[in-house]
Amino acid sequence: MVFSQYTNIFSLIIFSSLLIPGIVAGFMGKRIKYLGMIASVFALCMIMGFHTLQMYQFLIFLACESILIMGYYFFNKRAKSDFVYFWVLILSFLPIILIKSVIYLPRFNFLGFVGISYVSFRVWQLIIEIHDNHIEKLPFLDMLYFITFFPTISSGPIDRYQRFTKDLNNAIPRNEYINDYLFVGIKKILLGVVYKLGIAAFINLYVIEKMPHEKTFLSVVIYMYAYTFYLFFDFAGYSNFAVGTSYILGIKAPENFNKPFLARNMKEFWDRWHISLSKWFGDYLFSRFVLNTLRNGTFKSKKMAVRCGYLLTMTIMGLWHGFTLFYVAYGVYQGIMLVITDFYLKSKVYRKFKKSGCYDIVSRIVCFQIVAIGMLIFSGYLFNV
Amino acid sequence: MEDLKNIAFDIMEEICETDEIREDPDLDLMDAGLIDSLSTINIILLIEDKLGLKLQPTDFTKEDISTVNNFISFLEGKVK
Repeated sequence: MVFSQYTNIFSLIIFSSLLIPGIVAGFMGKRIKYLGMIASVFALCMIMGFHTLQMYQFLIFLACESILIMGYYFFNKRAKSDFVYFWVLILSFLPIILIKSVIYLPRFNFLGFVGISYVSFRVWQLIIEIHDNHIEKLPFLDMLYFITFFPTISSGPIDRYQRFTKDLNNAIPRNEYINDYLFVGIKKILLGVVYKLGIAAFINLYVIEKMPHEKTFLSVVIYMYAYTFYLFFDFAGYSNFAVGTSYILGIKAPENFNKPFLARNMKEFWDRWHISLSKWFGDYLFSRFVLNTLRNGTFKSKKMAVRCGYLLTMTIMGLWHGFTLFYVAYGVYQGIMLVITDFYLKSKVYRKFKKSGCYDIVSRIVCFQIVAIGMLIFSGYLFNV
Repeated sequence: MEDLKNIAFDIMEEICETDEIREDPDLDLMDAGLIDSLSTINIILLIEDKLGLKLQPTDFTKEDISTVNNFISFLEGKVK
């Protein structure tokens, strides 16, 4: 039997019961590391099934990526080669590209497993950090646990290896565990229940599912706002479950949301929405693209490099969500909006407007509309005829 | 080391476009609105230019560039 994680109270209770040995260890001030690993194995069997095609694919993926990462780690200690780095990265991209292409290859629609999109980030981060010589030690079990850590496997937040292993190998004193991990974790999970199983489920049931088949201007507008709020409460609720569960296992997973609808422009929005994703893209794609194109002279001006960087990063972010037209359109839309925001933030209009009394409220209202239009594209509602 | 300190001040002065930072090397540059997330890229390019040291964005933490004094200690750690 396969359970989907965090989708209802029942599965939440089943998955939470796996945390009990970890909680006991935490109460005794002992390290939770190995109990967490055992819990992860059970949880992964529950998420993907035991003798299932999904589990086999996951295990093959894991075996290949582990060989790739460890192989590159030992290679990089002995020799530096950009050629090898390039091909290791390309190889690590193959599984996700193959699985995301399945929508155009109906014969292969059995391909895929829960979490491929998010697990891939963990793999890529390791490869890039090995190349940058930021990883001094790579114990096999720590690496495997980082890649397969179950609380955040299906939809993030996207943690970083160095941060994760620092928490992992830390013995937390009993009182600190109870106050800063266990209680905080439980609070987050309860908030997740309110967000995802309460508010999001309510919006879905009473607004989204009640939408008429015929699309009118009004129905599209209602859908747009309803979906925007639905997506926030659903995803932020999920993230609270994921972060809360991680805390209980002694891992302070990063937060994913910080009041995104209070953003005053789209740049600020991406500092508040799906934070671990935008930070990941910022660190490993965007800023490296800008730096490298400036270093090798592709762009003379930084402004130009930054704007092209926004378009490229957001388009790839869209593709990462899926190779469907509306995800790509969503990425391109976000890229264009960031470029426009960049022009706006450097303009005289902005500097003058910023000083006016209505700056905060007007900016927030306008920014929210831009966000909502983005979510409407992302939902695919406009694309299903 | 004195040289490195001067280089750190020069870089931050160029980034923040103000010499105020010389008066208070513990000023929180992010809070004061003098640097943002894009400043890292400029800082990396300036370090490369002045010290010949090629860094990546993930070499920094937010704290490393939050004040001039932190930035000085960061550079000292890198040059060692």
